[in-house]
Amino acid sequence: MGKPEMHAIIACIVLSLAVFIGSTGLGYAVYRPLRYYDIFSLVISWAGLAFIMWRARRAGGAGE
Amino acid sequence: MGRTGVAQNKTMYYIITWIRLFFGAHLLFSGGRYILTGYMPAIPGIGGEWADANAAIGLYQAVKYMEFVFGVMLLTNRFVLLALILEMPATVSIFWLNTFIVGTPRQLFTGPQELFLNGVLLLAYSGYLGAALKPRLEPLWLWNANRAYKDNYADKIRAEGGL
Repeated sequence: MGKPEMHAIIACIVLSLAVFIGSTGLGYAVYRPLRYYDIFSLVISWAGLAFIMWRARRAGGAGE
Repeated sequence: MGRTGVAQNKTMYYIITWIRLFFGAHLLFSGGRYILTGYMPAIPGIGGEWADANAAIGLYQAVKYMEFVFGVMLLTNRFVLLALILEMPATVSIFWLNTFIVGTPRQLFTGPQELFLNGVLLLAYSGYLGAALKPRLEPLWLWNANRAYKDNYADKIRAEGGL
């Protein structure tokens, strides 16, 4: 995995943490469980990113 | 999605792709849940009255069906810019309602989140739109768009006449 991929994954982990903390109130409000709504979006976005990275790796490039 | 080239900034390309898929899934879930179950969240106060009034006149339902379609468009990477533009009015409504009217702890996050997702994606895809934002444009029917696929098109169409 190259540097750009690593940087993108780190940024997307930060975005995912922001979704988790914002949706649950962790550390700043009364904790509420993560919604299926958010879980669905996180699963789709990570699965999709993994697929696109895998496909780009096979093709030897990225993007369109 | 065709593999027709290499993104100029791979890191940003992947981040924007992640946000596109997240927002697409977010819209698909929101619209799909309403279509399948008729679910409407209980919104306290005047915000709830507003949502109920929207449902009474059919606007709430229209927004949910639109969200579902736009979610499919974002997830399949088809007409993404169009979906982002058409979703923006609903996004601004949700942002305003959640942030300033409802203001419960979760809505204080989900309101700005909605505007952030739609706004960042709109910026990321608006390079194409930027080419159309000229201070002086003659009217040009949508079906005559081929006349705008030229260098210096605004001046040329003005000289030749619009529509």
